[in-house]
Amino acid sequence: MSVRCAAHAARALWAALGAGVLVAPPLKADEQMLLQVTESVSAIYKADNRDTRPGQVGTVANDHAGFLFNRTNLQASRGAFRLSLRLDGAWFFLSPSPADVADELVRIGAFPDASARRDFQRVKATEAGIELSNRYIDWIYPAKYTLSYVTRDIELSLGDANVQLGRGLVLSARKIDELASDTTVRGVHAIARLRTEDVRVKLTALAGAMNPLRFDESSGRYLGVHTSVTPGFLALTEAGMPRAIATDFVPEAERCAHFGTCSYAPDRIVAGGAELALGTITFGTQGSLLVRTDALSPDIVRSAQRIFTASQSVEVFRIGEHGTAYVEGAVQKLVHPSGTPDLAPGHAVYVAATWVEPRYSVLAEGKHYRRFFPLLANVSTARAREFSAVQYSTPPTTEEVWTDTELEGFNTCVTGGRLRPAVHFDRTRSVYAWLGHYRTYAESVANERCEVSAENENRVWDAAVGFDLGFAERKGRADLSVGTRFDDAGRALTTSAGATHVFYRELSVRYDVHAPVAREVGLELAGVHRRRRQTVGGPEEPWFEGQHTTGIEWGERLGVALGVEYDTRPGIPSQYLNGHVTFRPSDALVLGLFAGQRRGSLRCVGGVCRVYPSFEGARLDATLRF
Amino acid sequence: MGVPRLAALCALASACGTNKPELPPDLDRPEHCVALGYPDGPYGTEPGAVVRNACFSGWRAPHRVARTPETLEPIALSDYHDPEAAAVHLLVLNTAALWCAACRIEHESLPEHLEPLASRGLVFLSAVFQDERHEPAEFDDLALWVETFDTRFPIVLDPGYSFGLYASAETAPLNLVVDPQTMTILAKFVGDQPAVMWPFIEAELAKRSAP
Repeated sequence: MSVRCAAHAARALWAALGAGVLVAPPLKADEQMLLQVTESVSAIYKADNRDTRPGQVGTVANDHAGFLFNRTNLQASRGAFRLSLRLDGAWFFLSPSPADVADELVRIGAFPDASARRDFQRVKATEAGIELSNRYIDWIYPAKYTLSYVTRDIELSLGDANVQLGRGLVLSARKIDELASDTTVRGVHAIARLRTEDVRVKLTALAGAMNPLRFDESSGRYLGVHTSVTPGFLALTEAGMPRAIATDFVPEAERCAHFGTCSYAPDRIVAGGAELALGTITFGTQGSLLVRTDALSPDIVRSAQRIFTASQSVEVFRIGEHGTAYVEGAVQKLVHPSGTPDLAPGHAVYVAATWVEPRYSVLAEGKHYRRFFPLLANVSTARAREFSAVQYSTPPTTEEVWTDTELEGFNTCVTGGRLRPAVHFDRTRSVYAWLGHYRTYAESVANERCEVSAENENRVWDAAVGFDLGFAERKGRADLSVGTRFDDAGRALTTSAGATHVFYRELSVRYDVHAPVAREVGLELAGVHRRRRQTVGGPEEPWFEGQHTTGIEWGERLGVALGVEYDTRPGIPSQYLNGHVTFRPSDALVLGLFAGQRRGSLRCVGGVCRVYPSFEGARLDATLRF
Repeated sequence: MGVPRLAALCALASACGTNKPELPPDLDRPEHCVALGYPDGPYGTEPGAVVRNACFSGWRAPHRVARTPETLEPIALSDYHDPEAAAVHLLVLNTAALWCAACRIEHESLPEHLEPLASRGLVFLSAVFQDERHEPAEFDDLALWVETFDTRFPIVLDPGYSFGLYASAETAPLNLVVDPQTMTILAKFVGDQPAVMWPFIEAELAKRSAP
């Protein structure tokens, strides 16, 4: 198996590299060949992260694992040509065995008799075997490769490309570092630009297969594909990528949906856009067609065989002397096998406007979405839950990028917006505030059809006020804000303490301060502290959670930070301590060492969210460029 | 083949799908939850595979009994194995936890779906597996759940989370649609998916009642 897989990988690599050699024209005298290599290695040891629960395999399987992640980036450019290759590899030098996991669960469990205990051990060992069949598996694969030709008027690329059309309603395949996400379209991507004195036209076209990263560093899980979901050209785009494997616990099956380690069925996409700029106004038309194979998780979006999304946008770069405006309207149609369920087409309207004066500025955003879904990747959420947030579009939330309280299907059936005014006293001092109001119909109920009614409604108010202050001749900066969120359901919610309309409440403080304290020495203070209450799905009582980091930077070479985190929810460890050292011995080398504990949390960036499990252990990162 | 190329191939071969979990030697047959006539293995966890038997304690008709520990009765998946499809035409195995928002939302809307389908041979069995702290569910949690949602279908306690074989606890609720004649998994729905799951169940029931 591994030899066959290695042969696939090698073929893909040689094909990618060979294509560059064959296509690239001879070197001209004035063209220099540039080669850049970036090598990033992470050595991670996960100790017991204190989340162990009786009977729950996943909470034991995430302890006592050690692994190396390697990412090698090669970039070669010559004139208008550029060839890049990113090779990812994972080697697990320590991982729990099914027997270890079952033994630990037996140790902390309670059983009426010996035979019940033995049965439990047998079932849990099997469950752990299935859980570990796509976790802590060694792989090396070509994560990204691209050959591109770029001039002022034309961009052509073969291989992986990051693409966003409009504001992300139609297609958004891009890198989100905060979530360790980097989805690309692997195929053909072309951009043409035409210019006259008054008119500029940009045409974009692409076709290929969606290519998310296949390894999740926080869990050690990988996404595996199978020949049953790689027909036609997908066999080429998936050459060398991690495969579903048969183990003692997961037998091979003919169909990916029946194969326990087949967790990804590559999605195919055809998309394009045209932008016409006339003076300060740009008109944009965008469209994408997503085509699926087997649905691995039959939810409303992943079970759609085809998803067609199209939008029209208008952007005005100047209104008067200080204003800009953007509006995008989109439609979406999900087509399911044999027409079931038959969902009416969805639509979305997003509006944004800014007005920036020297003394004040205003940002206003609004949205009206009905049955408008993010393009979720066809992953198995049962077997690769860590990848359930992989998506190829990001309908704007109109909220702060870090907002993690748009719960359940909030953004699929919603009307609302946010106003964010700021007063600038001078170039270094300003006060800002925001007020957002939303009416969503898919947060406290499952409402894929987006039926608008008082029963389904949640009314949300989100407000904050803060200041941004520059000091010490602009070398220092402080940003502090206080915010709150009120989320009430239209119907009475049933709880053990009685009925209530309160769905969610929050009060929060956020700060980020950088203060120079001596020559080349800076103090960093950053933190978030939240008081939260969640009626459905949360603990009975409100809880506090947050984190504070104190860091010291010595010039550009050394940084040391100490962090403390807390979470007062019952049944969860309440305190977490950690330390982080960053050392840059040269411009080419960066070393980072993290040791300690980090709480589990939901992290969101622009509406894309991921659940991070708590971490306890150490992590050494090294990045070398040459 | 040059030395660098050979070395690269060796590196690839040594790191491609290795480090697989292995079967513990003492993974013997069950002693506890055995039912005569229940389909033999091999059992599996994905659609197309036969679901393994599991035993619980719970209530078959929670609205008709006093909800005390004494009224709990043994309930096994094998109880719903119906080779002749005489009474059970389709079986749905569901999981629920007190911390799980999607489970609570799902159980609020279950009666409107189940009432018209029960007479067509649908049996819905739910297993409450964890409390609000993610700890194993106890009797009081089961009673509270039944009380809160006025449950009128079979519901059991699953403190050991037997359904972890099919999906991890974090992704609850799980709904396994099972053919009661063969105990084969027809579909696996992770999370509350009413718009997709109920049309699927209705279509399966229609197939089974067709002459």
